[in-house]
Amino acid sequence: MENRLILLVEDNPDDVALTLRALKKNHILNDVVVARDGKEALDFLFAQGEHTGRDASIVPQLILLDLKLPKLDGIEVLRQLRQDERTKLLPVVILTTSDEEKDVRSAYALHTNSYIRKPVDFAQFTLSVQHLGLYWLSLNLPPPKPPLTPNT
Amino acid sequence: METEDTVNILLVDDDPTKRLVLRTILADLRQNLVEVHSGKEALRALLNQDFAVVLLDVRMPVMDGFETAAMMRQREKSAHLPIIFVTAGDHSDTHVSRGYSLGAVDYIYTPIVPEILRAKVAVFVELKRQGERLRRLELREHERKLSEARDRLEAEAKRNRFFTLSLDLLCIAGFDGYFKQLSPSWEITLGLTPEELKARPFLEFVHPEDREATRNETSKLVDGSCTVSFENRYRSKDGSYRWMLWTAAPYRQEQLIYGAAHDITERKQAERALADRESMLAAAYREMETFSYSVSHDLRAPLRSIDGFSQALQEDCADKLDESGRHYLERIRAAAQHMGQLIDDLLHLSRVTRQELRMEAVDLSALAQKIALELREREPGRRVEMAVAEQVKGAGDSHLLTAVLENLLGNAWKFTGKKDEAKIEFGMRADGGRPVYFVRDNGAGFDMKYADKLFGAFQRLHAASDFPGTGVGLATVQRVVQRHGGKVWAESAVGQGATIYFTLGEGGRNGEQADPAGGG
Repeated sequence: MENRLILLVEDNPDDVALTLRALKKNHILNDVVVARDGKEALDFLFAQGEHTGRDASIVPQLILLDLKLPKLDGIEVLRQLRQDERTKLLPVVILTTSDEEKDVRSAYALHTNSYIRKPVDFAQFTLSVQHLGLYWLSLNLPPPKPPLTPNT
Repeated sequence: METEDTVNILLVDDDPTKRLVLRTILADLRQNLVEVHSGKEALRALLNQDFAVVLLDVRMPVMDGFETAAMMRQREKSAHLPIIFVTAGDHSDTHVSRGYSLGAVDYIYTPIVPEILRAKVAVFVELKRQGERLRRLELREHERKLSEARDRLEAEAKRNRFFTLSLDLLCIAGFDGYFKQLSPSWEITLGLTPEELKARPFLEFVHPEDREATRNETSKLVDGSCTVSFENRYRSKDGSYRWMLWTAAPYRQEQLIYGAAHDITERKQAERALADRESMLAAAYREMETFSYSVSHDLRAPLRSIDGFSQALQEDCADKLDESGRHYLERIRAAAQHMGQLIDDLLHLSRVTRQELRMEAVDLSALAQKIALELREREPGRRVEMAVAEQVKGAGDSHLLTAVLENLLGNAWKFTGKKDEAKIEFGMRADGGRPVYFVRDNGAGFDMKYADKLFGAFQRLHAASDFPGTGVGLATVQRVVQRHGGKVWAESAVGQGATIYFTLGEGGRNGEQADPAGGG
């Protein structure tokens, strides 16, 4: 099920738990890999650091990316994965608390595919996740596979 | 009376007949003849008048001519007075030598040959006249010089008066790097006496950081260029520094620099204070940005956990909870969501303050119509009469004015919630040529006693159970209106509905965009 992978980049364990719960409630049964900071996310995507040896050709179908992260923040993660041939086309949904214009602007400037502000109300959040899963995992046609030889 | 051309001639003879003879002979010279009949009177006449020559009879009673001459010579005034002795042909050597030893200039022997006497006297008259003329010339020259000197002194005194009066610091400095002259304002400004300032090269009084520049500027002056708007700092007696703004020009012939310095310390301090305040403001602004950014990111996250896990508890542990347990969880969730709303409103208020104004013509009628429609869609069950005046326009930031109308119409919608025949009106009236916009409702209204609290953040005039809200809406309205250079006020009575009025400035206040932290 290599194409059914979701990468959740989120440092807050509560948010991780709630997001997983919302996915489950919406019967989104994809594998979810959780990266707890920006560096870990890039390590996973590029099969480096702790993830050395992972099959880098297995790329997530969707990346849910928080903005405020330890080490590398979400904007920086987005910048780096948009610069790499292996990851530049991956669908990225910013899933964050902030609706600061600065954040929204930077995210779109780096070609995020979507920007969703997490509502406080969990019922609404669950609804957001439902829409999101339906759209990005079912309706949306994923990008073609990246070239076999990485170009960094 | 002595005129320019007549001189005095003194005739001294005790014999009136001889005096008459002398007078007659000398009359042709047309000079002023003064006759006396004794040596004593001659001496007296010499006290009062100036003479070209004295004709002195040798043989006189009491005091003879020689005695008289001797007396004359003893007086400074007459020590060099030409004397012609008149004598009756006494040719003895002793006589003559006595006369000459007394400094006599000449002798005339009787009987007098008129031509000779006239010739001799004429010489002295001419001599006297020339002497007088010379004296007058010298006097005139002397006076001219004197007057020139006086003029110069006066000019200098006048200049010095300016020099003394000037509030600016005037100075003359040598090409050698020392002050030569300093106006009193130097001492007043720096507390250093002119002597102290002249004692050392002026560069030593200049702030170390300004010395290099001052040295360069001085070199340029010595090379012949002038100084305009040069600034440096001078040390005063107490060790503090004063800022000077200089104009100066060199005068090569004298090897001098003439300089005028204006004390701009206060202006510099004011500029400094302003710059400090600007940077403080900028720092405060940055801090506020960081703060609201952090609020935006971090403050809501725990609320999601509270709400999310409360709901998880409700769902997953429903069988373990009784009615009141579920009720408590409901209250926890409501509180979390309310706090989320508070944070959002607060962030919005902060954004309204920070956001740059983009001024344009805004169709307020269209905006109000759109908002009214949204309100109806949100609560389709309510019966509300909405009257929106047409063609109401204003100048402002459309995004912020939308927030104003959303808040005002939203409030009106909310506070008419308990009315069966709710009525909301948006319109404009001209007040002295200036448009006043208003939103009127027939809702709950409020007591005017609390009107001053109406526009404060988190101020609420109704119980949350009656009308929910965060109390930030009207504070936001006020900030937006103030940033547009307008005013907002309210009229109401309990149970009689409320009207909120607002104005917009004439195209926004000047400089608003340079004042990101502006507003109330």
